[in-house]
Amino acid sequence: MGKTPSPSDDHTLSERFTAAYQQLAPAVLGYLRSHGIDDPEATTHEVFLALYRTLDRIPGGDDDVRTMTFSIAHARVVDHHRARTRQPLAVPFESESDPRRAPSAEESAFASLGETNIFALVSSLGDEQREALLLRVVAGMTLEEAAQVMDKTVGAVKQLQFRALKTLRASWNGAPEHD
Amino acid sequence: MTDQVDRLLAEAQLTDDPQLRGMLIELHRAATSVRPMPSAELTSLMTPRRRRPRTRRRGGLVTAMVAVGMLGVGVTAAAASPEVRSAAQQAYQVVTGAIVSGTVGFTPHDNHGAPGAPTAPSRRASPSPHPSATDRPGPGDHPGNGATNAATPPPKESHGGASGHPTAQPSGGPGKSRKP
Repeated sequence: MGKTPSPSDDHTLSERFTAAYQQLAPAVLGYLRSHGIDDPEATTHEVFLALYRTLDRIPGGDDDVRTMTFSIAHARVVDHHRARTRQPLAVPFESESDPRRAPSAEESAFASLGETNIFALVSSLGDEQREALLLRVVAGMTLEEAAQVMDKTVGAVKQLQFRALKTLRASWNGAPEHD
Repeated sequence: MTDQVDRLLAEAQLTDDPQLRGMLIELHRAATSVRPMPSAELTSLMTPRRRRPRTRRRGGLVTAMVAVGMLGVGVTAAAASPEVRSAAQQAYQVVTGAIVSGTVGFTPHDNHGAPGAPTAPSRRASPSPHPSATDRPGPGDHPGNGATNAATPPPKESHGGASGHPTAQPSGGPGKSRKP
């Protein structure tokens, strides 16, 4: 501690940071978008700036960097939802973006398993189910890594993802899943 | 990514649902399809990109210069060395002699002269269609000596001025060569 970084250390840090950004930025952006963050690109930038400040203290390899990156992103999501709870964001109502409405026959005919559809399905999940599912599928984390990010036990995350999958399947088939 | 999805479905004991599997793969694809551009602040923290085409061009230039240099050295050495010229001429004669012999049906039994008598001089007596630079008359040579020198037997070589000429007989040792 207190050691002055040498130019080679800086170069190594830059290389690690560049590799982390190239590898993880799309998943971080998708994770934040799936959580309904207002400005996901700007938040992605914030996440990586925070990562850069801690990168020299992450001793491990790519898995540890990914866990740290999504821990930071998870904290941003939690902050975002808390802020929204305290001060609800006033936006004009747009019926097309309301997930509660029933699609028209025309929309049902055109809609397939597209991007809009899958994000609408995921957004219908509860917060923790959605978090568990996104960390596993979008971030590509293991059960243990997801449990570490969510600060839960492995068993609890396993139960959350099981419920999330059941709810997704039921939503896709048109029947609500009650758990 | 499909491995991760399959592992997740196995953990939930839902491996028999291809529709759900397809949905999760689609979720991953849709969520990671956009690569965000880094901000200016992030870019300043990243490693600058290497300019590969420029490096490649410079490498090609260096390679070309080395190749030209080596070629020049080789040509100079070949032109300056009588041994090289002599050896080249001998190799040429051996090859052409073998080809001509093969064409006219020459066999070792056809040689009825003295053992080891050269057969090439009679052929070399005819004017060469490709006069070499070594056929130029030397300071002590008479004009028009080139063809004659080509068929000149070895003893004449020892007097100088002919060792560089193509001969039918192997020339003397390197010590007898004319200095350039």
